[in-house]
Amino acid sequence: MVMEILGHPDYLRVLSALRGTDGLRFNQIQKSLDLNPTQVNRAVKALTQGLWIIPHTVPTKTGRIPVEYRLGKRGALILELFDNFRAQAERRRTELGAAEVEELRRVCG
Amino acid sequence: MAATIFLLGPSFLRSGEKALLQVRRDLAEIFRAAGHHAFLMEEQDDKKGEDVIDKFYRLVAENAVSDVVVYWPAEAKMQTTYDEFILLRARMDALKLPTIWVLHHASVATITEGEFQVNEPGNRSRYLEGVARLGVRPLVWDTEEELRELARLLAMEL
Repeated sequence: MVMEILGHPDYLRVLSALRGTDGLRFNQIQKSLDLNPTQVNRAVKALTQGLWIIPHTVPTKTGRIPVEYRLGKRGALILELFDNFRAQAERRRTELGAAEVEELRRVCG
Repeated sequence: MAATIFLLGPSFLRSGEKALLQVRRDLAEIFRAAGHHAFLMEEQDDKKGEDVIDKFYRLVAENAVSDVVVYWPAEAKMQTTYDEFILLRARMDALKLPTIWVLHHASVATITEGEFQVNEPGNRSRYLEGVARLGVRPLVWDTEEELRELARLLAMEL
């Protein structure tokens, strides 16, 4: 399950976008990451299944029931682990390669 | 910190078979194994003179319930659960409302492009919509194995 997250840059980007927010709606995630609806749909579905992120219905009196997504405890933890990984990569930039380090920064900077 | 979980949901299938109470008991066991306090209304003794409504609110208040977990399968007799939803809704201003988690079968509701949609027919959808409008955390499962895995993950989240 962890490897599924690490193997999908879009999933990591969604987790990263939710960090430090009180929750984002589907279209906010889409806009902030410049992803198409299919990509966001796939990411939030997979991330919700593993409780990396938690869907919350937004209280409403009538009409549509919007959902916003918040980072779950496990999602926050995997970001922390990825931060450590990225920090180590930054320190070893000359051995790993600048392009590779930049790739990690782009995914979850 | 351990959570106190009030586990709601049906006991009977529409066919009349009483198979679902055991599922809720199994879910409660998963939460207990993770160190949480989880209970079902059916496992709690009645107090002299109280009706079911009194009992429901007493259990929420006495146990300082932090989380309500609703088990919502397909093909179940949901009337008692609907009643419990109404009780939660009715007192939401007075009670410090616990966090509500709805563990629903994939056929019951969906989230499509950021919108929660109930797929239950007719009046059955109105109850879940009413609860969803309170602000809940809906989690979907398809098989019983997925449901148990979801409960295991939720136990870590709480």
